[in-house]
Amino acid sequence: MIATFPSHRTTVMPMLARGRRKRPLILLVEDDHMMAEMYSFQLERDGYQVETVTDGKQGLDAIRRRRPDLVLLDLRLPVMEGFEVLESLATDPTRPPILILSNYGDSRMVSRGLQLGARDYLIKSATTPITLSEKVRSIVPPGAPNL
Amino acid sequence: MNALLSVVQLLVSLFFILLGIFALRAWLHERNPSSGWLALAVGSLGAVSLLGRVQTSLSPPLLTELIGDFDIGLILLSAYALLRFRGTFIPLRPTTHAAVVALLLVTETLSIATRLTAGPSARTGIPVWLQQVVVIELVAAWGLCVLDPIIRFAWASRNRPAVQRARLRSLSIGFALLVLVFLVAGAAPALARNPVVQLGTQLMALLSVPFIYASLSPPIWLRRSWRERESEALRLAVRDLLLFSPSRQVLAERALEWAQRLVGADAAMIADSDGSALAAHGVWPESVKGLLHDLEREPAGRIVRLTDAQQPGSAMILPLPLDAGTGALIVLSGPYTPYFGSDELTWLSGYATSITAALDRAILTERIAALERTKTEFLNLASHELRGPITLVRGYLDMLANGSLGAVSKELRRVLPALQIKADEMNSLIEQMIEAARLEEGRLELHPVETDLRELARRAVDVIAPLTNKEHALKVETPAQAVRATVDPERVSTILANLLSNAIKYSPRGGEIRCAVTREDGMAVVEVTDQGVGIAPEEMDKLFTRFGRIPNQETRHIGGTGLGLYLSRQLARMQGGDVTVRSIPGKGSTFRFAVPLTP
Repeated sequence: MIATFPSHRTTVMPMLARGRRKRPLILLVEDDHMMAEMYSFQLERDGYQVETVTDGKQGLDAIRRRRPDLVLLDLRLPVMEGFEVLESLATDPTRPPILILSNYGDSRMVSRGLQLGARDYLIKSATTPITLSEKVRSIVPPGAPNL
Repeated sequence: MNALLSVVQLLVSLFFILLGIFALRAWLHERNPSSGWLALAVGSLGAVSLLGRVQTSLSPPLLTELIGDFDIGLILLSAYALLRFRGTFIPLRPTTHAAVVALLLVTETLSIATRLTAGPSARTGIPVWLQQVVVIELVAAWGLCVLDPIIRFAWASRNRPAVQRARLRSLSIGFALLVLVFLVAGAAPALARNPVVQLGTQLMALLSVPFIYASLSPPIWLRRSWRERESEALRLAVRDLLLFSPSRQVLAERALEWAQRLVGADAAMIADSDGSALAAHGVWPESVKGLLHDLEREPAGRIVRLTDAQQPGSAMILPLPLDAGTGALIVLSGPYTPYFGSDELTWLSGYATSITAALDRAILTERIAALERTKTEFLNLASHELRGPITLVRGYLDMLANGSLGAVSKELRRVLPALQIKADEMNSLIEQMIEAARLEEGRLELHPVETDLRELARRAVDVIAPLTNKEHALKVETPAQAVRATVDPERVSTILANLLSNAIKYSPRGGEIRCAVTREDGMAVVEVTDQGVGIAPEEMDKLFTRFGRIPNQETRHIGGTGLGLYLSRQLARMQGGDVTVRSIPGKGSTFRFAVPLTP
């Protein structure tokens, strides 16, 4: 459906969408349900709205349709890899900030991720939900905390 | 003088007859054309000298003349046979052959027609000059037929195995001496009648005997001495064979080259335990396939006669008792090769033992390499699979500690630090496994930047502090000035954390743990000293090996993968430094990390 929208509207709509939200929307692209639940638990608690999708294709669709305020992107994903998602968005000036959240931390992968426009590269084993939330907060200020 | 001359003449005759008998015997034994022609060449010379003895003791001139004619025929026959002998190795062109036969027949006819053997006397009515021309023609024809093989054999002997080379050269030298004898006798008959010259030529003929004999059937001691120089090269080759093991194919190829060289074989093959050829050189007759059975029955090898080869020959078959079954080393005799004897078999059997060991070792090396790969793959896979779960556990523990999961009871708050410490420990073990796998697969990349080691040491001590208990006193000693080194700060932090956590782990009864940063001789040094259990000198070597843990009464209960020190040292060495240790059992240890100072 979104594909039939005139192109200028896709640049206006997200701004409106983002502006209307009470709580910023975080899109979590993560195929491990338990990890996803852990991260969303903390982020929702800290004043964010979290939407989770489990593969790269859904992730790309959701980014275009839902216009989240920030994306947490895993790299090893079914259907479409995280890097492919980044590549598809590389020339999109309206893309939201993207944080890579990956198990792998090879320097080649890190530099490739950053080159493709990711805001930062977080390695899961060195990141707890608390530190992740702090990182998100430094980019997108939270709405009313959900205590 | 004359008595001496007759003795030498007698000896020459005797030896040439013996040579003839030897050659004949060799031919009867081997029954191949080349030894047949050689027997004829040498045998006819023997007959010449025998007839020469008979001739001088006979009186009727006609009979003498008849024998003389026959003599010349034999001399020409010996030249022809030698040429045919050469033809069995280096084929003779049919036109050349026809020309030679014609030349020899003409020569023989001329010599009979001019009554050459009647002696240069006016009785025959033949002018002496004509006789002389015929003699020169005779010597030239003979020399031509003999010189060709001499030169060709000398030429062909290069790059041959030692035994073949020596045999071909002996033959060349022996016949070259005979050519000289005939040249003197034929071309300068006046000179040849001088007793001193006669004695000289006879001695030369005598001298040619050992050479011809050596080429005909060299005794074992002679073959051994010829081979001596080769044996040193062989020893080196065997060492290489055993030390460096590439794939079995390459190994077998290399082994073959020497097997062939050793005995001067024309073809050689190594058959695997399943009968397939691992490596093969040269042309193989069909019958060889049938030889690969009952190999175990003759562990010392056997010699088999082949009848279907291009020319009859023999093969040596040596069993290779490989782990997977019996294989074989087979060598085939060639035209230049002597028939194989027990000496060759002994030589080759020693070599076969080395080949067997090398081939089996190659399998072992391949297997170990495969195992090593599997292990690294496993390490990689396992560590990555463990990473997910521990990340989840640590995440929730952190959320618990931060109150994200609601109020935490007093009891839970008490046990939470222990849970977190153990989960962190597990996490770092997994990281170590991943790092070790990276190191082994050559994927480990360093990112060096100029760093102050004092800061890294302080930070490491801060990180490790929660692991200590009341009995431990953790101290940092740093100089006032920065200690700069160009290192990968993450990796150095890992090393220091490792040394510090080891110091705590191996000081179960507490004590001081000191982390001192210093500069020493251009090196930036961090020393971690504990007052723990220490390490026995004989266990020092094992300390830095992969999975090299030292379990004993006191340390058995202490957890760890045994990767920490291995990784620390490897990481330090990759940055131009090292991790070393000194220790007194029961008193404590000092681990020293040193990297070059940044100038």
